Amino acid sequence: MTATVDCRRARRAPALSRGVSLIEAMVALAVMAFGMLSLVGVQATLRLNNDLAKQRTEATLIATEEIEGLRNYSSLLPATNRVAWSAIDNLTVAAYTPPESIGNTSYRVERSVTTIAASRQKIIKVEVSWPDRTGVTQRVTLDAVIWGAAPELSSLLAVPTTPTATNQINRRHVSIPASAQDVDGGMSRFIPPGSSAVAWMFNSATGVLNVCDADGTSNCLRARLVSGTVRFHRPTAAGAITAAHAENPQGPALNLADGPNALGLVFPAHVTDITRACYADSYSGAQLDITAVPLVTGVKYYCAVFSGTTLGWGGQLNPRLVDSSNTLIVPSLVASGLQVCRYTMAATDYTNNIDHPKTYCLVASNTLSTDEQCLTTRVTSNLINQNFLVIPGDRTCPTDVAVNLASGDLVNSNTLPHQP
Amino acid sequence: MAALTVVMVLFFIMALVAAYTNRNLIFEQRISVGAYRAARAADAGDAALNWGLALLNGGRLNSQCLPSTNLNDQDFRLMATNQPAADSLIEGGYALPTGSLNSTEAVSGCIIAEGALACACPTTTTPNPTITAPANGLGSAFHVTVFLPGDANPKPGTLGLLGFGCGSLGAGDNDCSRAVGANAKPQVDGVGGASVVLGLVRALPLAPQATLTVGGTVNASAGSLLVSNPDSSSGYTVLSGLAYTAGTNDRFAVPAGTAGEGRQHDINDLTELVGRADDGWFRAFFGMDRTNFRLQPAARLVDCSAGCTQADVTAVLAGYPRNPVVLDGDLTLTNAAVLGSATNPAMLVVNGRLTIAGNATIIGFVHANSVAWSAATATLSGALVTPGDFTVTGTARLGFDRAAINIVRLRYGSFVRTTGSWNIRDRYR
Repeated sequence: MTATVDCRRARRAPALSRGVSLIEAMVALAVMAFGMLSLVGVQATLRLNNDLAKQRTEATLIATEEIEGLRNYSSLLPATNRVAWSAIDNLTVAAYTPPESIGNTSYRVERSVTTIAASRQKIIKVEVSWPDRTGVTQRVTLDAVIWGAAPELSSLLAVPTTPTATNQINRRHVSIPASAQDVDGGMSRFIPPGSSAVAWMFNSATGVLNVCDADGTSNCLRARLVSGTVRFHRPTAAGAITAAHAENPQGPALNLADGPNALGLVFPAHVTDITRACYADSYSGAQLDITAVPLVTGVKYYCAVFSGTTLGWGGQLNPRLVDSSNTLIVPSLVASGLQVCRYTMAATDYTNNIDHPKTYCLVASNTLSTDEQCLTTRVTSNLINQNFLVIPGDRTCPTDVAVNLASGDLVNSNTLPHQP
Repeated sequence: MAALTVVMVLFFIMALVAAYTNRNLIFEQRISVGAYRAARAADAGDAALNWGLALLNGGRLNSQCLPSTNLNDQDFRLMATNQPAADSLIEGGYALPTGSLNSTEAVSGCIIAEGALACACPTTTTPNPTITAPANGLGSAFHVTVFLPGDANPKPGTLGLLGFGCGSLGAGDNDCSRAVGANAKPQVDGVGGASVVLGLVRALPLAPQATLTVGGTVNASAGSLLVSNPDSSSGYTVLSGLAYTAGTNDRFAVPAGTAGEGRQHDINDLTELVGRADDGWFRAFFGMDRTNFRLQPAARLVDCSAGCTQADVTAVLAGYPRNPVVLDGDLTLTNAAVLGSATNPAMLVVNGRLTIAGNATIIGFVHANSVAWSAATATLSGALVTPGDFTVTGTARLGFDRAAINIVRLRYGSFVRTTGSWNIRDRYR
């Protein structure tokens, strides 16, 4: 029994250690208590901030909705039951509660609008503010720019323009020959001079050409028109040929070869998909006599050019002159011969197709050779007024300056050498 | 000590448990802030599109993107695009002067703060301008750039606009107002972008074929009429709905080598257009009625209820050389003014009577309700159109200018959004 008591005495903690466990427990409790307090604080702050987050999200949505509603204006000027751009102005809603809101506050929505009238801009600031749970005012701000344009303008982009008399000639596309006849279906029928068994059918509104059999509906082939006049100035006396002569050539004219060979079309050897059918007015020898009254000084021509691709066509178009015995005249630069100039306001051979270049553009596959240089792509539309001037071979193609309205010079009769 | 350690471990675990159980609260707070920043950036991006559209339909701009009358300044369209001539490329198509790479594109940008814009536009000498941030650093920022929609092939009258917005401006070379190279994002707390495809509602979709198109009479009995049309693609000088009364020394010139005078008169279709109740004459040229034409964003309106002179027109054209100018009232040109140029032809729509009494030089397209020409040496290069009468008591000198008319036809008008083209777009994707 004594031994047991001694053992207990032996296990008893030293005097200095007595109460340590209690202290440890107290410290632990204190730490725990502080920790718990801070956790409770965190929890409370989280709940407050979460409430604020919900309110901020709701306020952001209110501001976004406000701006989207303004962006959705349906008229430029005030109109009944429509949101008008011009009516967008300052606005304050003192206490706004979103529909079906589960929030615990109401919002003040303030829209400030600055209008820049010259450029139809409205600089918009939407500020949504609200008191949070602690009574502190919170706010979100969105900035926007809303530009004013009548919404129906966008629909005009899809509306095709309709030609009228203000931009047509004889209710037809300007490129359609004046002697064409109106037929049903918005088409115009043109019979080229000297042709047989063909009818050139034009879409009256667009000028799109189809070359058909005489009935106008069979075996039609898409083509592009090239037309113009070959003018002649063949004086017997020596002297330079001037711009005045080019402006008012004196003839006499020569016929061109019979259709479809009135003009030739020359292109590089690698081009194989382009053909042409060219016709021209023809005159009797008496009409072409230099003593005829009135003297014929020019011959109108019409070419239909066919291309195997939708890219269009290109090449050099050359009048084929014939003498009184219908023999082809080869252009030359000798005094007894004839040379062909072309009317063009350009200063060089390479110019836009409608400006009558030496060679209509043939740029294909990005391969250029000397004869193919041009400023544009292939010819894809009708070309009219592509005129030539035929002069004696030993003269120089006359040049001219640009039109000068102030001085009364209304014509630029500039020409450039074309053949040979 | 062991108890304390155990308690601390327990407390740590408790803290973790508390954090875990409250993770949704933390997450929601982050969502809230993120949503706010995103909304600011998205609105800034959309503001960029609206601002860009306003500029595209405006006039000359200085380096702060403010209206300018300095002839060395360009309008936003010319800043942002190349505009090939009508006879090359695709008719009416646009090209980009600096390509479409982020590192080279021309960019304009702004800061929006307190309902005001502070902007910077590129110039020849400063293609990538900077904006000074507000002292408090607050404000949304954006930049805008133009692209070719679809693919590399230009489409007539079509452009794309890309707006990129930030919740704040940022700083340094990567601030939000300008282009940043090599896909580097601005160092800001929220970014957003959107794009739209724009179409040009042409101010003159259907150009006249003649130098002078008149709905009423052409009366030169007390003067002379000199009209030229050297353009091989049209070649007509005068078209009139009613009679032509010749003057003392009238001359009409068509393309060299083409016979005739290229004029037609008593055209019933023209008088019918004038008489139509639906503004048929006006629609025939402009594709819309007079009211909508005035309301289009590119149009510049001038109140001429008390009459206008060349000074009023000159003042408008100085700031808006490539915009349609609508003059509501009579216009009288009494002095030797120059209106329009070869590169910036004027487009004047006079909702009243045009009187040319001074020796003015007009280059471009003019539409007036009626025209009285008493000047001796005034000239008009382009085209003149009137649904009323054209009366000459001096010497009217008119020439068709295809290049000028093509610029007006293909480049003038209002850019608007094409329906359904708005897209969220991240340029740094």
